[in-house]
Amino acid sequence: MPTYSVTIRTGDLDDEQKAAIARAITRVHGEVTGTPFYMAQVVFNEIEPHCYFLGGERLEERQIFVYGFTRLGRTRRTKDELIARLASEVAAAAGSGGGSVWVYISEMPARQMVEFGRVLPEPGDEIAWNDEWSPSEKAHFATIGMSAVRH
Amino acid sequence: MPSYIVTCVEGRLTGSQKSQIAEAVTRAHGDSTGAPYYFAQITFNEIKPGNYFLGGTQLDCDQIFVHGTIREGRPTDMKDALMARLTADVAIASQMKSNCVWVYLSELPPNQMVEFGRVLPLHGKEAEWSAALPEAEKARLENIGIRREAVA
Repeated sequence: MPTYSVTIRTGDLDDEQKAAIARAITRVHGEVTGTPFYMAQVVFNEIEPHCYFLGGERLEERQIFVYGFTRLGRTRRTKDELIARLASEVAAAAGSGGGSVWVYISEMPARQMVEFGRVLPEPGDEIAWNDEWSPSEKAHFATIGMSAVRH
Repeated sequence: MPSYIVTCVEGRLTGSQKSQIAEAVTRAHGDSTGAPYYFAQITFNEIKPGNYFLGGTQLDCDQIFVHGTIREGRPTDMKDALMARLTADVAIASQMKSNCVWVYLSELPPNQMVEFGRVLPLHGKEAEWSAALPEAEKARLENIGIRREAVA
């Protein structure tokens, strides 16, 4: 139930690093909040190097800016764990290359979020909400993204 | 008085579909909230193939994501109606199934938003705000964008 936009300079991350970061964000968000992986959307926004500034000057080294939008209503402890794990696991997924990771988490009420064409449930109402999908839609969701099963 | 960012994979939408989506979002917002159409700013954020992930793997189905930032203070039922209309009308305009549509609405205090160089009015104070505009500026704004059809 989140969307994360990841802003980087064009060329700072290769496809493998992007895939690793998308997996890391999806896994961290799912593990910390209990959200199914298929509900995590991650989009990379690549900025031309001459268009990215820090401290009033063009960025000199790699920077990875993760901006997440999630549902309101989670506990402070959950959000603290989420942001701490995002920061460290995005850095690990990016691998070598230096630079720094920024993370912002913005919240909005569940009723102001539509995913897959439906308004999201309030925290705690997820099970009833899931039960309203048709069998074919549930089957479709099961095909999206990486498996939640860990070996 | 909103800005909407429409995120989609590059190349998925034609120019005509983008125009129809922009018009659908503008009408949904204006008709649901009463805001004049010229306040609705819509930008498309086209994501290069390979940069869009869902569930931790690359997106391999249709998806369109509309993220609006609007003034805080609107009634809940107005926002509910806006969400429903955005979802339905963006699906039609993009020719995608409605289960491919994601919509988020973020809110900001009006005193943290400037449009056309002026801090926005509180909810309910729109008429005073418009009345305070110089005539030339009012005429300029009313000339922007699509027109509201005359109500029969």
